[in-house]
Amino acid sequence: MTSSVLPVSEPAATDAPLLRVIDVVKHFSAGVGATVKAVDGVSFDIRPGETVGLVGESGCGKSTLGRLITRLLPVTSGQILFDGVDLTALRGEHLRQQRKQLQIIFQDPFASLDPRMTIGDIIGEPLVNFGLAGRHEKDRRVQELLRVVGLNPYFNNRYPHEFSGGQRQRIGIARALALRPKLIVCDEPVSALDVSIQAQIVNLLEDLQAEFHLTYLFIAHDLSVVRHISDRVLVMYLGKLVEIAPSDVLYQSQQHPYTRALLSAIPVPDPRVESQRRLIHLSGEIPSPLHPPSGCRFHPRCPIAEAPGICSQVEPPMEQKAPGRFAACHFSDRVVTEVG
Amino acid sequence: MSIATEVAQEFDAGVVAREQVSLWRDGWRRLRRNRLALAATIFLAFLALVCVVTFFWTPYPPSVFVGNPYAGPSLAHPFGLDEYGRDMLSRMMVGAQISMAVGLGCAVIAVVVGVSLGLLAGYLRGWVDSVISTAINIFYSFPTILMALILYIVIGPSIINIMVAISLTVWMDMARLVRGQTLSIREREYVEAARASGARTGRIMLGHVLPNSLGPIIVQATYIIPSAILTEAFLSFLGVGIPPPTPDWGNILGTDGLPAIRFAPHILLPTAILLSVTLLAFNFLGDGLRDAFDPRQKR
Amino acid sequence: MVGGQILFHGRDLLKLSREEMRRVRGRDIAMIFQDPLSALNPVLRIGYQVDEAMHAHDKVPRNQVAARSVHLLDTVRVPDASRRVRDYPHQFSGGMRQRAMIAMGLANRPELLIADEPTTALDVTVQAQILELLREMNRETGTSIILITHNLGVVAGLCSRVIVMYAGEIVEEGPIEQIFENPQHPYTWALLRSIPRIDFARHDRLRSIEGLPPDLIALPRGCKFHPRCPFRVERCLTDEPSLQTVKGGQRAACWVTMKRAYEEMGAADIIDTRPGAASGVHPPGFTLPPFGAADGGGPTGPSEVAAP
Repeated sequence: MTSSVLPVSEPAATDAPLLRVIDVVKHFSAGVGATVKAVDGVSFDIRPGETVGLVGESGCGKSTLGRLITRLLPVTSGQILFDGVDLTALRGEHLRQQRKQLQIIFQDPFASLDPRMTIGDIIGEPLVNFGLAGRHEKDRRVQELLRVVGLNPYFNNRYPHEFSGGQRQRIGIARALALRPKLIVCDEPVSALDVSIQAQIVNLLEDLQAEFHLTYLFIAHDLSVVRHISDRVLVMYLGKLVEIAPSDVLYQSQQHPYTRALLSAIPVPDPRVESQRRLIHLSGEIPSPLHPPSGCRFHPRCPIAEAPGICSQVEPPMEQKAPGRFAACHFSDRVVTEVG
Repeated sequence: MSIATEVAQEFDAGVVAREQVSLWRDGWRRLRRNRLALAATIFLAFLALVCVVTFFWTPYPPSVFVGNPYAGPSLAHPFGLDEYGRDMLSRMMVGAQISMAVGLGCAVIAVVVGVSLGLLAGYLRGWVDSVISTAINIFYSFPTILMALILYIVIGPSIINIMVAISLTVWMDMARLVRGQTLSIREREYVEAARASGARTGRIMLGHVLPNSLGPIIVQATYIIPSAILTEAFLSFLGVGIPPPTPDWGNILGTDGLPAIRFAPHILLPTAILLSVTLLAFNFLGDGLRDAFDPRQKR
Repeated sequence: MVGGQILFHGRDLLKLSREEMRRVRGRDIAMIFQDPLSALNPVLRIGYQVDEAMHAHDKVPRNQVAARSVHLLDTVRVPDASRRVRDYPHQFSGGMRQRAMIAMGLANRPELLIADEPTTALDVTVQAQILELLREMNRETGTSIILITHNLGVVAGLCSRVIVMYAGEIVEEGPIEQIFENPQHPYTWALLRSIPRIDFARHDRLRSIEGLPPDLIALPRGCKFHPRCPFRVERCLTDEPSLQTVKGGQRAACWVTMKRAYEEMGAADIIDTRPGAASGVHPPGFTLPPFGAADGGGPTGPSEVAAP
C-alpha cells in the first residue's frame, strides 16, 4: 500500500476503498444567522486494512468528522460511501443495519460506559440490539470478547466504576468489536489514559487489527501516537484537510506550512534533540470557525503566504503534489525550504 | 523471561482491586449512615406496618359510638374519644391509611405521567418538547388549591378523585426534572455509544436515560408524597376532601379537633403531631436519598 | 501534611503561621495550574485579577500596579494588552488564559514558580509557545521553576533536573541528560521506552509497562513498583529501597538499577515485540487461540482468523 488515493484524482482502483468521504460538509447553527462551519468540504478515502490517522488542534473539526462518518451526526451535504453504500442517504432501519459494520471507540473511558449497566450488558448491548445472541450465547460471546481485550472473562457482572481508565478503554474496545465491524473510528482512544497505559492500548489496537482485519480511522491530537499507528496521516485545520501523506515521510518533508509548524511544536523526550529543535512560530491564534478567513484559511498565520494576494483570495484545492502526497497549498514546493 | 511471565500472571489475577459494590447497594450503605434518614425510614416503616394492620384490625370500629364524647385518654382509649364518642386511636389509624394511600398514589401518578412526558420531551425535543413544555407551564399557572377545589366540584368527592386532583398539580415538577435530566443524559458519550451500536430510540430512553435518572426521580417522588399528604389533609380540613364519617387526618383536625381545641385538645394534638412527624420523616428521607445518590459523594 | 520539612531559603515553611505563609505565597512562591479557566474568576476582568495579585503583597507600589499589569500581559505576549486588560476570562482563548495566569504568577517577581501541568489542556502549538515563555522567564529573571507534568517531551525541553515519582515516592532524580540517556530506575527506563517519538521512523511495536498504575489505597509491600517491574529480585518484594547515589548527582531508589539489569539480566533484549505481547492481554510466550473457535461461525465478520 504505497500510493494514496483521493476520490477526485484516481479512477476506480483494483483495491476498492472501504470508505470514501466525498466533499462532506457539516454546519452547526450558532444563534440567529450564524453558522459554524465545523467540517467544510472534506474528501478522502480509506482502503480495507489501512489505518488512517486524523490530526489537528482542538476545534478543527476532527471529532465532528468522526461522528459524521459513524452517522452519529447528520451531514449538511456531501457523501459518505461505505462499501459502496451512501450512508448519508440511509434513514431509520437501513441506517441501523449499516451500523454493524462501523463502530466507534470514544476518548473518555469514564463517560462512554453507562454507569448503571454491568460490563456484560455494555459489551453485549450491540448483540442484543441486532438480535444476534440469546442470553446464554450473549454471556459466552461477552466472555470471549473480554478475554480478547485482556480482561478477566468473569468480570462480566461488574460495574464500570470498579475499573481503571485503561481497563475501561478495553471494555469500550470490546463493545466496538462485538458486532465484528469492518471499520472502527478511534476518537482519541488513548488521550485520557495514564502514559504508562497508552502503549498497551496502542499495541492492543494493532493486534486486534491484524486479528480481525480491521480498518481504523485514528483521530488524535497527539501526532507522535498517530504517526506510530497510522499508514497515512490526514492533517486538518479549521474544518478542512490541508495535507494527506504517508506517515513515514511526513516527518521528513511536508507539503503544507501548517503541518510543518505542527510537527515543529511537538516535544521529543530527548534533551539533546530538544535543545536543537526549532519552533516555527505561527502568528495569532486559530480563527473562529464562525468567520473563517478568505482564500486559504491558514493565510493569516502562514509564514510564506502571499497576502494580500493569491493566498487571501483563492482557496487552494487539494492536489497531488508527489506520488501519494496531497496538500492544499499554493506554494507547497516552498514549504520545506522556506518555512522555519 | 520467567519473571516477566510471573508479572503478567499476577497482573491477570489482580486486574480489579476494588471491592464489588453495585451503585444501589452503595447508595443504601450511604443512606444508612445518615442517622436522620435512618430514623425517618424506621418511622415510616412502622407507619406502613400500622396501615397494613388497620386493614384487618382496629381497636374499635372507627365510625361508631363507643364511649363518652370528649372523654380524655384512658387505658381503654389511649388517645381518648371525639365529639361523637368515637375511638381516636382507631380513627388515626384509618386516617394514616388514607393519607399514605393518597401520598403514594399521587407519587405513582406523578411519576408515571411526569417521567413519560419528561422523557419524551427531553429525548425527542422539537415540537413534542414545545407541546409538553407549554402544558407544564399552563398547569403551573393554576393555584394548586384552586385547581383541586375545581376538580373536586367537577368530578365529585372520592379518594380516587382526590388523588387525581392532587396529582394534576404536582406532576409538572417531575416532568421538568426528568426533561432536564434527559436533555443532559442524551448528550453523554454512552448514549452516543448505544446509538452507534444500533440501539433503537425506545431502548435508549428506557435502557440508558431512565436508569440514569432514577436517583433524582426517586428523590423527587419522596418529596411529592408529603406535599400530597399535606394538600389532601388541607382539603379535608376545609371540608372538601374525604367526606365524613370516614376519618382522615385532615377532617379529624378540621371537623373534630379544631372546634374542641379549648376543652378537648387530645382530639387535635396527637393527629397534628403525627401529621407533622410524617411530613418531616418523608422530607428527611428525601434529603437522605438525595445525598446518597449524589455521585460527588464518594464515601 | 504529616511530617517532614519544606525549607525555602533555609526557613521551614511548615512552621510558618497562616499569615506568614500568606506573605510567602504569591510573593516569593507562585503557582500556575493546569486549567486556567477554573483558576480565573469568571466575573472579574483579567486586569483586575492581575492587579489583585500585586495588591495582596505590597511589593509593587500601588500607583504602578495598573501599568505593571499591562506590562506583564505584554511580556507574556497577550496581544493588545492595554485594551485586553478590560476583558473577562471567557473572552480569552485557552492559551491566552494560561498566559494571563503566568502573568499573575510573575506579578510579584517570585523566586520560585510552581507550574502544575501548565500545558496539558493546551494544543501543541500553544504548548510550545507557553514553554518558550517559561524558558525565557527562567533565563531573564532567574525565576526557578518546578514543572509538574506527565509529558516527558516537555521535561526534556524545559528542565535541567528531573525528579521521577511513582506511587507518592521519589524513585529517581538527577540531571536531565543522565536521566534521559542513562535511567537507572526500571520505571524511568520503561516509561521512556513506552512513548512513541515523532522523530523516529515507525517502529514495530511500542514497549509498554505491564500492569496497572498503583492503587494508592492498597500499595504493595517492599518496592512500590515491584509488581510491574521486569527486573525485580527477591528483596524487592519485602524491603523498600531508599534513594542511593548512582553517579554524579543521579540518585535512584532501586535494589537492582538498570546498570545491573543490562549487565546481568539481559535488559537489552527483554522486550517482547511479538503480537500479543505488551498489550496487557497475554503473558509472553502465550499463544492466542483463534477467536470464535467455539463459535460455530458468527453471523458477521471473518471466521477464518488464525492464531498468530
